[in-house]
Amino acid sequence: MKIPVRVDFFAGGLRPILSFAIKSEEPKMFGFINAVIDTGSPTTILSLNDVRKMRVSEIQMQKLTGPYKKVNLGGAQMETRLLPEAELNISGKKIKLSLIQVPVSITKGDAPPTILGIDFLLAGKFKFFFDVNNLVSYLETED
Amino acid sequence: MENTQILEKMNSFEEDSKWLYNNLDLLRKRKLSGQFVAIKNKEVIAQGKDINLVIKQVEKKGENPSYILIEYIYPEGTIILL
Repeated sequence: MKIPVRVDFFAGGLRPILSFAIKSEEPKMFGFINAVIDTGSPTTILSLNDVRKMRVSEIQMQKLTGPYKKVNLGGAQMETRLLPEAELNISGKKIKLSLIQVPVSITKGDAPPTILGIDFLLAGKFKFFFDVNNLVSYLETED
Repeated sequence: MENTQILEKMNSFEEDSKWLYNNLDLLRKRKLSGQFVAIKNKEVIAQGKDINLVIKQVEKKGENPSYILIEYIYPEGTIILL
């Protein structure tokens, strides 16, 4: 099964961008997100803008786990905590992804986009194809 | 929400995303550079420098922001290194 990934010009260059739905029970969260697939990042990290868009309340944000961690990404500095488990729906294929980093505050710069890291490729058992010359990209699974 | 409903709304979100990335220059010409825009059915339904205000505008229009494309229009020449 091949899942198409868009190749869009985003913030200075061509990037592989995937749209998906994210759903979490603890904290309660649901929404549609565009994310850059970044094989240079070991982990997935949500954009604070996407978190705001999903209107996650302060009470729900307290259900994030783990210590506050300082993260530098895209020129921004932020503090993150962990989303224990979420279900990602990508063109109908559902995968469970654990320990997604969720920003709770930005201490410097603007919120970077949502990043899908290596953990996402591992969780979905995806092979990732990216031909920037021909603007072709997709995820491939054996399902 | 049923999986089919999610996929329908997701398709619409993806179409709006394609439209946005293909029309960045047009949006910049409309002086939306440096602002958040909310797009539905390939039209800007809300805009502003503060995402929280854009979210409120989207809600006032009876839409759920979770399903709506809300993106920041980076000024031309901005490079984000990830």
